[in-house]
Amino acid sequence: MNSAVRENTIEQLLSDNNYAKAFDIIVEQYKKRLYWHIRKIVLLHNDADDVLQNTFVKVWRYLEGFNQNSKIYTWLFRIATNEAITFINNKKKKEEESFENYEHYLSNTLESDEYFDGDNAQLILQKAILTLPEKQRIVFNMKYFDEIKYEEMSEILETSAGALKASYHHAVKKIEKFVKQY
Amino acid sequence: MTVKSFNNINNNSAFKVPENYFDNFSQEIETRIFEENIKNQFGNKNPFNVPENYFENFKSDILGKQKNKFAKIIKITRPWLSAAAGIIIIFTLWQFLLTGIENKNNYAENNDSLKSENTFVIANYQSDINTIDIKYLEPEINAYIDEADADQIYEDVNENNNDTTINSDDETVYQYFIDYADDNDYTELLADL
Repeated sequence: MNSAVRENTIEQLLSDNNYAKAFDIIVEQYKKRLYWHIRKIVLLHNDADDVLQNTFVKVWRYLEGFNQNSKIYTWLFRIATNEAITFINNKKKKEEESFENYEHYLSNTLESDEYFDGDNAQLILQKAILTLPEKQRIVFNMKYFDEIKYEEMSEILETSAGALKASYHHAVKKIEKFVKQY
Repeated sequence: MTVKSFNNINNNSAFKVPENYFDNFSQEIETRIFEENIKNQFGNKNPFNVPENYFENFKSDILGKQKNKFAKIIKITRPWLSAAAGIIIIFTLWQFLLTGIENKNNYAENNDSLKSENTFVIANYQSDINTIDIKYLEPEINAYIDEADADQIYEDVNENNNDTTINSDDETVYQYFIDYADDNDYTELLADL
């Protein structure tokens, strides 16, 4: 099922008030893409799993009120992004209470994470990404790894394409500078 | 003459560029150069993986967790739900009885069409009463839970539910009930009432 047919099927089911069936299709069709989007933000598998579940619980809760003026894909990614940011902010608060820098904690945990199979070079890249401010990190991941177009990203992140291009520019510049040390 | 013609062609060109295209051009080139440097050194392959069968089991996992939460919440809220649903059903039956009496009087006035209509309603009502969807009782249940000792409910839910914690400020027990219950749960609940 291509993405246009998939979106049409879901929209039709929503128009028919068949929310349960629409939800089933949404989970099946988007769970992998949303997972990888979330995973690149939170980095650790268990955290990504929590955020993905929270995302779908939110989707189920608000599906009835979904405004079909926007694409379902955009809506889902927006919820997933917000859930991931909320999750990170909550974690940061907890880490700050224990006087540990969250990015530092993530960086160390990633090295021993059994679900990270990148080589040393990829570990350096992830550490470089962790030095970026949150928004730049999300933009960098979406563009660099997933090659999402600025127009699509703009709808998901509710930021102008121009601002996203500037964010990406700053991100690659900082990362290039960081990795030159290695 | 040649220069003038060239200038005319240029000014009348049908081609346009996006706004600020040339202003941002150098930045875009710089971005591409940095990006390619990073890609040459690190690639852009996804370095993460997931546990075996994670995606295959994801759907059943999420439903399983919700079902557990639901079961615990049902256990805690059942006294309120039972009472609320019981009151509503008795009230509905009472209303129905009154309607029936009224219709019987109408029947006494030899209204044949009304008689057949009411027979149809009675038949449907009797067949539906065992499978009535408790969703129809939402406002009543909500109101009943609101009137109950909310603090005690939140405390009980949090104590009995290891998977999640709810907050009396932003989530009601009722919302949890609605979020985590599916049609089978409603049917089971009704059967227990």
